[in-house]
Amino acid sequence: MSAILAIESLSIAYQTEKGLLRAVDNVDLRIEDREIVCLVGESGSGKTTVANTILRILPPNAIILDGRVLFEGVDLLNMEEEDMSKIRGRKINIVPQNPSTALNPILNIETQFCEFLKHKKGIRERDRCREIAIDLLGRVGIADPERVLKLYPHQLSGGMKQRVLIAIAISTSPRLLVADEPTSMLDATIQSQILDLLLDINRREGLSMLLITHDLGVAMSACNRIYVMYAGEIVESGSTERVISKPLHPYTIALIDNAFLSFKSQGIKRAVSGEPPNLIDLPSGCRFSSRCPMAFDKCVKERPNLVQRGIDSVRCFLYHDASA
Amino acid sequence: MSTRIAYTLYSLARMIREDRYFAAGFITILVVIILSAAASIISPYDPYKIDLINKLRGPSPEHPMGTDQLGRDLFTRILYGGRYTLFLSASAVLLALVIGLLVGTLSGYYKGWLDLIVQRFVDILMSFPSIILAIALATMLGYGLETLVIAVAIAESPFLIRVVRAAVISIRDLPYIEAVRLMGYGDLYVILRHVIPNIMYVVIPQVTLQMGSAILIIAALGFLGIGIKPPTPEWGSMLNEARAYLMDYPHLLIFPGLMIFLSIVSFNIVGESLKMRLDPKARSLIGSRSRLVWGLYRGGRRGLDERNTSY
Repeated sequence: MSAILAIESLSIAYQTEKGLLRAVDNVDLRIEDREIVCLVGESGSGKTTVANTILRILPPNAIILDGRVLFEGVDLLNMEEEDMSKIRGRKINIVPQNPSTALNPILNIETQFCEFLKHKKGIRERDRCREIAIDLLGRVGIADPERVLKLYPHQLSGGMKQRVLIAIAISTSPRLLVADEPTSMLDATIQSQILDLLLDINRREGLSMLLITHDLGVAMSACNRIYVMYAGEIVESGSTERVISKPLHPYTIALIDNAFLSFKSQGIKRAVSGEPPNLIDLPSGCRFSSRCPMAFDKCVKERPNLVQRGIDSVRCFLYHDASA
Repeated sequence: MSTRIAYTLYSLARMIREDRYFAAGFITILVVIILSAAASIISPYDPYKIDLINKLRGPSPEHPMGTDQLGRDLFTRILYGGRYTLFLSASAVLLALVIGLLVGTLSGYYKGWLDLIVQRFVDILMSFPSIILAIALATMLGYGLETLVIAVAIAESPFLIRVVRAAVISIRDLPYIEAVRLMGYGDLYVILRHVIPNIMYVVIPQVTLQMGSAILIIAALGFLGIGIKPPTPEWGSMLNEARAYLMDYPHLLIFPGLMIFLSIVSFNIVGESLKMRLDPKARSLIGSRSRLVWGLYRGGRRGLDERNTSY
C-alpha cells in the first residue's frame, strides 16, 4: 500500500515568552490511500498543530524543529509557498472545527462557493458555478440546494453549515481531507449525521481522511486506525478494533474508561486525574508518569521509546520487555 | 443589489415602527434636512435681505420666528443655516470616515510596528478634547470652508480609527478571512471584500454618533468666530450675532440653539439605536430606557463611551 501522507519524526515548538513550548515531539504518522485515520488526544496534546503543519498554516511563532511531511512522496515542509498553495485547498482540504466562523456572515452561500471555485478551478461563469454547487450540495445530503445557495450563513443551522463546508472541501476532488474536530461544535444527533456523511464521502469520493477528535466514540465508529497523542507524543497506535478492545498504554485505557464508563478494565477505577505536563518544562521521564496509576521508578527517570509491533505501537515501559 | 436596497428600506421601516426613540430621532433629522434643502421653496424671504424697519420683531404670522437685529427673517436664516451646519458636519464626518477606515483598517490588519506608531499618534490626538483640537487646527489652517471641514474631520477621526481598528482586529484572524487570504487573494481584495463589509455594523452607528459631535463643533467654531463668519447664516454664528440681545430678545438665541440641540440629540439617539440594533454586544450596555439620557449626555461628554468600548 502506498501512503498518501507520511509524517516522519515531526517536532514542532512554539516560541513563547516563557520559552520553547514543545507542542509536537517526534511524531510519526501514516495515512494510506482511502484510509480514515484518527488522531485522538485531549486539548493541548498537539493534534491541531499536526493538522496545521500538514496544511502549512502554522502561526508565525511556530518553529519546525525536525521532521518531514511527505504528501504523495513530496516533502511539504520544503516546498515553496507558491507550490504549497496549489496543494492546499486543491489536493488537501480542511473541514473546520467551528462551521460558524468559517463562512463570511455577509455573503450568501452561492457567492462564497463561487469565490472558491473561481480561484481553485478557474470557473468564472456564474451559471456553471451554480450547477456545480447544486450538485455538490446534493452530494452532502442537502435536500434543496437551490434554496440553500441563496441563504446567508445565519439562516443555516450548524449542521447545515458544516455540510456546506464539506461540499466546498470536496469540490476540488482532494486526495486528503483533514477534519479538525468536525463535530465538536455540533449537538449529538447532528454529530452522528456529519460523521456518517464523512464516512460516506470517504467511500464514494475515494479520498483519505485525517480525523482529529478528542472523542473516542467518534474515533471508534469512523476510523480504520487510531493514533493516540499525549503531551505532544504518540503514545499508542494501531487498528481501531485493537485499540478499543485491547488498549495497551495506561493513558488509552483511561481514555476508554472515560468514554465508556461501564467498561472497567485492568483495575483502573478513576478516569484520568491530574493535569498533563507543562510543555515548556517537560519532565525527564515518561510524560504520563505523573498521572499514571501503573507508574514505577523507571517511569519517572527515563523516557520510554515507541515500541513497534506490526501496525501497533505503544510508548510505555510496561511493554518494553515483551518486545526485547 | 436592488434586493439589498429593498431589504435596507424594509429594515428601516421596521425599526421606525418598532423603536419609538429611533423613529423620533430619524424623523426629526429627515425633517430638518428636507426643510434646509428646500429652504428657497418654503420661505419667500432672502436670508441676507436687510430690512431695518422690521428689525427685532417677535414671532408673528409673517415671521414665524421673528426677525433679527438687521430685520432678516429668522426662520429663513435658520433654514439656510441648516444647509451650512449640516452639510459641513456631514462633509467633515465623511472625511473622518475615510481617514478612519483607511488608517484603522491598515493599523488593525497589519498590526506590528505600524500599528504601534499609528496608535501612539492617535493617543496624542485623543488626549485633546476634540473641540480644542478643532479650534487649534482651524486657526492654524486659516479661514475657509475646506479648511474648516478638514479641521473638524481630523478632530473627529481618532474615535473612528479606534473603533475601526478594534473591529478589524476582532475579525482579522477568523477562519473565513484567513481562508480567503490563504487562497492567495491579495490584501486589498481581502480588506475591501471581506473585512470592511463585516465591520460596518460598528462603523455605521459610530458615524451617526460622530455626526452629533461634528454639528456641535461646527456650531461652536461658528459661535467663537473661527468657523463660518457672519453674515452667512450658520447656526453657531447666528448665536454669536445674537449674543448682545440675550436679555431683551431671547428668541434670537432660542431658535438657533433649539435647532442645534434638536439635531445633535436626534443624531445621538439614532446612533445609539443603530448601535443596539446592529451590534449585539452593545445591547447589554445600554438599556433602551436610558437611551434618551445617553442622547442628551453625549452632547457634552463625547469620547467617554468610545473609550469604554473595546479597543
